[in-house]
Amino acid sequence: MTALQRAIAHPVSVPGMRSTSPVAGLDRRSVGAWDVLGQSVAAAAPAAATTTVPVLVATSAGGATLPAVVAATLLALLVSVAVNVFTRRMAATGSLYTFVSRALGARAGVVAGVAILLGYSFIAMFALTGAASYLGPLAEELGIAGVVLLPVLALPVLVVPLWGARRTARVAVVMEGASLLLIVVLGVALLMRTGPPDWGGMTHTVTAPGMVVGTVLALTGFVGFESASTLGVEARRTFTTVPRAVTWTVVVSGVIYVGAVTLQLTAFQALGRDLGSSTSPVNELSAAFGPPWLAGVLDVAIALSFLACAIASAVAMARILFAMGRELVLPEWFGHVNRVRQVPTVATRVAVALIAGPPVLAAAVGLDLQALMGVFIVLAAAGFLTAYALVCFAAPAFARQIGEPHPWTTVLSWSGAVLISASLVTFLVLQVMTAHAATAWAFVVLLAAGTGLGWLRLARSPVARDRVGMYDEPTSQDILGGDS
Amino acid sequence: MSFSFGHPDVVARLNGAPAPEGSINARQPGAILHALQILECVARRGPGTTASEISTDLRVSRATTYRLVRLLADDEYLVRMPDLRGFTLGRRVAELAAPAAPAPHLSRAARIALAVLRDRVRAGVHLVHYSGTRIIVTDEDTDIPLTDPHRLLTDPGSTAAGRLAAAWEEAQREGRRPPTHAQQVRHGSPKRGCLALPVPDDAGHLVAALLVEAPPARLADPEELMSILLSGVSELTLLLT
Repeated sequence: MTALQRAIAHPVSVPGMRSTSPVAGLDRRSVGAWDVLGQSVAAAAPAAATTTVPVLVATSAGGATLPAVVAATLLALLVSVAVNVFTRRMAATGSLYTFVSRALGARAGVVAGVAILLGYSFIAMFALTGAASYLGPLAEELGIAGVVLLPVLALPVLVVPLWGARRTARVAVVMEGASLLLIVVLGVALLMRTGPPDWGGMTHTVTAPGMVVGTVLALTGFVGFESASTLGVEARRTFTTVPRAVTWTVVVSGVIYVGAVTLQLTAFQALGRDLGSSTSPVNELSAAFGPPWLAGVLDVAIALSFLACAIASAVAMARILFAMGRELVLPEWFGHVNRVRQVPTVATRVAVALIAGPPVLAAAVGLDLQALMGVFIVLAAAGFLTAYALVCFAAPAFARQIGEPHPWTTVLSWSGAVLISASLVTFLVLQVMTAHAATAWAFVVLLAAGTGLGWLRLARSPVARDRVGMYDEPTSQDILGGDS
Repeated sequence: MSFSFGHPDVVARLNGAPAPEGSINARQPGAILHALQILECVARRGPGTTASEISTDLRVSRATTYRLVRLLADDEYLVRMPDLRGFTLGRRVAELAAPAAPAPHLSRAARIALAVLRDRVRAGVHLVHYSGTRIIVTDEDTDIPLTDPHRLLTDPGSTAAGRLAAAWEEAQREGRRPPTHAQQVRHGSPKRGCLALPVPDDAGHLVAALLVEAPPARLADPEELMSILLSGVSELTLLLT
């Protein structure tokens, strides 16, 4: 008789297992691989970012635009290596918040949690405002006032995440997929008109500051790629599908950005203009090379991608608030799950209120939405970079703690930690030195305030302290020899 | 309950022989043998066996071990301990050793009763038996097969049949009246929902369940279906117990 046969015939009792999972109520293992990938891709929104990222990078990096985008892709890959140390081993809803809590303790976890929540909420505000600004001209023709447009767009962001994890992810995939397909088709069509890129005719002066700033700005096109990890509990074959989704989102986005930058540089060169001086390159290119109706179609496609990003960010944010609710770091009702839809309804509604509130209010009082988008993206990027740096520090520590060290991932995670930390500091210093000084300080204040409140809660509640880092623990029903 | 990992190389390596040259990695068929060896190793060492211990015991590289334990954990043959350090065997490994055909014999009369029911309800009608904590499909509707038979094994708690068993047990424990049915309808799901009706024996133990899979709309108000099914269930109760 082998040991396995013996174990099956007479299971060894494994005491101390819970009878229910701390995340009970969610629709466990219901979301398929493509939808999990869709969550991450939609949150990163590469289709919409092709309109913002290349020009943003070109403005600061000049000749180093393409190298900066490639460098950002590699940096994002380093972060994905660190994130996947966790996603391969634990199914959680709290994403980087839970990961950092497990590895570096509750206090560091709270910093990561506040940072990533700032990231998701501001990227969602950016996306929502972006959708409104792209749909603005169309809405005007249809007689919809700009003030009404934002609340109308916020409606799907509230409703879709309440449909259940699987359907929400499917909607986000279809929206982002349609948008992406159109952008790629147009890109290929444009390439056939302009001919192959003429590298010799372009400027290649690479300056170190330009490269660093360009890389950090290009990174904003990737943020959100880790959001598949918020579906850890709800994904099927979670230890395979989630890490794959995280890595592939970076690869897919990277390829799209490299393509978009090459194409935009080529096309602007053909027009005899400089990409960095353009305000809206995709629209200007469609006006220059395409038929007149194309601009409207493009606007709708980009708005779709932005909306998918807002929806995916709301989903991710809700899962993190849910985790904090179940841990009692936030009030208990954040951990409530609707029995029929099996989604954290309260956390979702709060997330959407936080996302939709500021842009809707700003539009109502008549603030300049374009300027506001600039503020949102800076706050979001700073939030994500903070959380990424922490998770890169956390990954090697976690691997050591659980007795599964891995030399390569340690080296890569540490490189990520150093490079991302340096990027974050550069980014913030740069913002302080330029027009966005107030925004950079606002980020520091928001992060400090959130962290302070979180630490206060931890100090007062031993239960919360004990529960932080909660994940979908195995129950006695899952194991051989569990006392049921 | 008899199975063995008959390959002589494997047996030799379990006994400590060195790995052959050009060791296999997770992409090759040898991975399957490694996977079984890993289960064997965890069974031998007991709950809390770490990936490093497995890697040392089997003389397989760490990277391959990590990859294989992840695949085994994905399918719940291995389960990571609550502190995330080390593994224990998942309930699913019991399937490996389960007899090939554990399903109880179904009498001709019972099969006819099921066929009559299938004609009357125009939906997928299936019979499952409870065996310990496992749910065994005894008679599946061949015209309208089960939408997700795998889930009955991997996550019974989320199926109608599993919910029925849990509710039945709870009612017995608390001395309440046993439930008349259990449902599993995924909200807005394009898939079919499922209704489970209990088939108890004389002593009041849950022996089997009749599952009816139909579009969620038909299950929203199960009274019409239930009226047809209840007579069939009482007939089955007599034939099965």
